[in-house]
Amino acid sequence: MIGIVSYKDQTKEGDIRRLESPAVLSVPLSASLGKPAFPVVEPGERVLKNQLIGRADGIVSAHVHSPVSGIVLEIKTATNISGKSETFIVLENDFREEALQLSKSDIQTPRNFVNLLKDAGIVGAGGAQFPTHVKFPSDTGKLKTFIINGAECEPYLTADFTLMKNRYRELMQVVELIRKVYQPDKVVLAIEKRNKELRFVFELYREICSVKLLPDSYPQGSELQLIHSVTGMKLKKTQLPISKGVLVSNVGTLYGIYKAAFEGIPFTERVVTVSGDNLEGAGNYWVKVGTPVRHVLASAGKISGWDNCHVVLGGPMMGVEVHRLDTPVSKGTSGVLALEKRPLEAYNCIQCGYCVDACPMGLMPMQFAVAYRENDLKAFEEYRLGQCIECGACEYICPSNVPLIDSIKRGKQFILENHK
Amino acid sequence: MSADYRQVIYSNPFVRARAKVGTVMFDVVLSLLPILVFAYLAAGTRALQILGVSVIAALVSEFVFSWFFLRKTNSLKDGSALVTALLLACTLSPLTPWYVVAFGASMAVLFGKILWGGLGRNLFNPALVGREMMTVFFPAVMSSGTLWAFQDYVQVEDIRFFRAIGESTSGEYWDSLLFKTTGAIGEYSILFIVLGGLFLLLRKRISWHIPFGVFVVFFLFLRLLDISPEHYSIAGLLFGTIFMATDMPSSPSTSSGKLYYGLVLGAVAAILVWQQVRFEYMSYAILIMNGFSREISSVFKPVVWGEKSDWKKITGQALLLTLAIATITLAVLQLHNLKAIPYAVYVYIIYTIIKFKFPIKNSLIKKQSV
Repeated sequence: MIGIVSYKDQTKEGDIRRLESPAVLSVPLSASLGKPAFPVVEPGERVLKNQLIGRADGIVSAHVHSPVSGIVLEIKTATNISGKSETFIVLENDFREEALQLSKSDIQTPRNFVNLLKDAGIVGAGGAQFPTHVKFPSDTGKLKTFIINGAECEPYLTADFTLMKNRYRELMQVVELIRKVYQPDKVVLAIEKRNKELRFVFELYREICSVKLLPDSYPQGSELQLIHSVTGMKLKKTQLPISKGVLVSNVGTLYGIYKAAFEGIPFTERVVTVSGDNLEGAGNYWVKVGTPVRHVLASAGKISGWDNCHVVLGGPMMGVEVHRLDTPVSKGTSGVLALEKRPLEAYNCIQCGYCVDACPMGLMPMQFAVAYRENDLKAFEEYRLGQCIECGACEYICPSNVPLIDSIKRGKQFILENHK
Repeated sequence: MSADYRQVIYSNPFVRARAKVGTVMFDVVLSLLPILVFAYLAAGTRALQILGVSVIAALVSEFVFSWFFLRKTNSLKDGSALVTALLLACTLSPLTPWYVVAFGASMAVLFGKILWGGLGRNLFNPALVGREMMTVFFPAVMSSGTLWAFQDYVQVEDIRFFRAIGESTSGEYWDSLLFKTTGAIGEYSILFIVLGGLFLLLRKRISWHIPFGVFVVFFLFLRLLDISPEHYSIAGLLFGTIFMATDMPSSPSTSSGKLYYGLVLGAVAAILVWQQVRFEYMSYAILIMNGFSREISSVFKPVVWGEKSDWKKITGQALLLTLAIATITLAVLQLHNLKAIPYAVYVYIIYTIIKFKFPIKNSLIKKQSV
């Protein structure tokens, strides 16, 4: 693991601001994992806020709700940021905010709880967007250690930090609920040393939730590394944490659960850190899912000059660059960053081994660049490409700017194509 | 050659550490600066001339050969030619004729680096390649008995620093570590060689594994084989270990690999000293180990998260590796005793030329579009 300059100070202060609703939203139906939801509205139809517009299709899939009241303009298929074809429901906002609520039910059992998560379309807000109802077990006794992932190891991002600072009561209400439903042995909030001021906030709740301070290293927030830091267990990449009684939820996800369980509101908006280089309105905003990136940047103070920027969704280490500013914010978008483009010079790999020392998974990333250059399928497997979590630590530290992550992503694609 | 320069990032991460190749090289130069000051104190302008000739020859060669063979015109910027030139000069006597130095520096860049495909692709330490070329092509000069008699050029005979601040018996010993006027240009201050090493260690430009391995095994073997101190130079051993053996492109990239490399390097160097190899034992030992460094990296992989190392497999492979290194060491010893090292260098020259002209692609899947 490595130390990274955090760039977080510009967004750490202040409360979460509300971003003005956009006039048109395009709500994505798929999460990055699993099957996309199935549209249940027709173009021209009027929808209310929080109304179900996409129904989960299969087990690993999540419901999608309307973030505003308005008219369905179209259901379009377009290429998403990862280059895959994706379906969006385009909504025209009528700004009347006529809303529905989730049907209230008393949550007593794991089965109730999982149903609530499913009804509210909760997915992992840290970026992976894995449906949360699949992660939580449906029976008691299985969940021993519940870990709240407050380790926001990506630079620039402070979305989880502001939630922990400003919405700690709500988060602890969810902890109490989970304690009641699952009766875990312990609940641990894992935060980084740089945020240790939060410890005083959670001091009041030490009966229900202990705080674990983690080093400020990257990628501390990665599930496997986090579980190791908290429990001492090193799980394999293929092992499900719940099989060892462990479950990790991100702070943003937990807040989503709060909204659903206590306010009857499904997952239709989230906290997004808007930040980057020379951004006047940098800060944390409540952003409705489906809001175009252009609207986010404009409302946050940046009007022009995007050509000189990498506009990135997520953090700068693992985030994805968007080339079209009408790309919408999804349930997994923790940040919208405008980072200035700087010319990079790439040298040959000098075998310094910095990437090997940086790799949290114990791999030799420079070998993937060689394997990719030589189309060497066997080398990809010998050096265990499948274990890579694409955290980007290797390329961050590389003094030669070798395109390691690009080689890794293309290498994984290459393996898929050659194994069919 | 694949496209080596790109203007934009096209994949994450979008932030990067500030230290680049140039930074790494600059740190090495910084760590050498005090050593160069002592070189001036010991051998005056002769030392500076050698350093100057070496640097100019290396930089000119880098520019010309890099343009001619690799079609790159900006490789001076990475600073590696400067480092090679300084390291090479540090292994030479202040009395080495300037044209021999120029030849060595130029060959270090060409056969040590450019013909391998440029910085990072080379298997052997360029400075040591240059040095071997000098001994092979200028044998009379490089082994002349008067080469090391530079007393006339000494600027400062003695520095009484520790004797001035403390008692004289231990002070004398410490002053000899601070400064003495025998040996090659880089070897006059043991103290500042070590401090340079510590600086590089703190800046993470080298790791402790290689020096630790070398020292432990070298001194263990000295004891076991009962070698007396006049057969080796402690300053030369330190300089070679800290600045040459840790050279990034020519040493392994994994921690356990580095440790193995250091341990075996210490053994090889000690055996060569034991077998009466006088001046070249460190160069030979490092060059022998350089040849195996990529193999060592692939045998001593880091432990994959959540998994256990296959110790049986690693031990087997390590034994084979050690056997191969031992064989090569014996072969080098034989060549040395038969005065046939030049032939090995000729073979190396021909090999690098052929390799450059007809690159072998060890691609298992030929030319597949990805």
